[in-house]
Amino acid sequence: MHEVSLCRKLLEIINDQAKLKHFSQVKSVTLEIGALSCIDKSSLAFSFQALSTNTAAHQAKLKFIDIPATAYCPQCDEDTTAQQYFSHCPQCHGALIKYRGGDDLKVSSLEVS
Amino acid sequence: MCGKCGCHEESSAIEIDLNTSLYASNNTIARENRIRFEAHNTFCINLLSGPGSGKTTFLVKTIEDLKRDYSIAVIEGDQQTDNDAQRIRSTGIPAIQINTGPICHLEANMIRDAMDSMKNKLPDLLFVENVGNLVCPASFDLGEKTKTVLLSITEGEDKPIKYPDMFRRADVIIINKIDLLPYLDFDLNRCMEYIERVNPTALVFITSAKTGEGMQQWYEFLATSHEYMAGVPA
Repeated sequence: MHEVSLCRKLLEIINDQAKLKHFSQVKSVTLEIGALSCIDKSSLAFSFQALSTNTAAHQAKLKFIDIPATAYCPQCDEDTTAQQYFSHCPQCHGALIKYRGGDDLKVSSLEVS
Repeated sequence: MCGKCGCHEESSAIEIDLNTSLYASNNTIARENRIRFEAHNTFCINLLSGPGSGKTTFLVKTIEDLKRDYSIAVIEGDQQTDNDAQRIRSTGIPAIQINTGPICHLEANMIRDAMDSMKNKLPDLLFVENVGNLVCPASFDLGEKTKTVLLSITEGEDKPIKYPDMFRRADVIIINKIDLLPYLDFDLNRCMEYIERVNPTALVFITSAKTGEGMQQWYEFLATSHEYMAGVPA
């Protein structure tokens, strides 16, 4: 629930790129959002829309790629992917433990003109 | 339609690959903080919990019992007021208050700025009392050596599974206010099972900052961790 802080950082990154690569308009921003990142997409989009006014990213579309976490099944002795905490193994339906990854929010790419 | 000349030609767009975490700038500063702490043999504890769980009382008790053996300082994080910093200062040790305003968590740059104001007089033990919030502070590395999450038994035994992100990231979990156990329907065994489920490797201490029960084990952890950091045999 800190979408505003993260949007500020996103706009800093976009602003730095605009100076470096000399573009004036961002058409879209592709974000990789981890399944365990505690980020709400609609809150992020709302914050981005509010904060990007009068910037190169004004009216840019946000595109999301979902990144799962990794978790371990002790019954199968194997890692698998998980979309949330307290998930179950797709093979044996046992409870998964040792969740890791899936907690980042990355700007993957920008489409600019 | 082109906003400049009104034509309907599709403007050519180019793609710029970035692959950059939005936490990157925070993590860079956190790493620098961590290096600075290690250079000064400062053991930094990021103390996290929901609001009203007793973090400040727990810290005051810890400080009163350890201040003769260690130099200690506290960085306090709250949206407003310096009430908590004042409570810490009344023990005779320095406290820096950070008011985060609308921001619900501390970030690494705030800790860096607080350290700068200490003018390189970094203590043996530096406690960062984070903003009372069981969600957002978990995501922001401050450069600490340990994330310690405090849970008071008045909050209910299922907090670890209700807030798995915070409890999963904890190195240490403290179950506090245990003196109130006879007056509550708190299931301690169930709480330990929930902790085991989200974080089987966390160290768990069961304490009462009011009576002192269980605090000795917490102090031994601090002592061992600080001495390990400073390269001195425990």
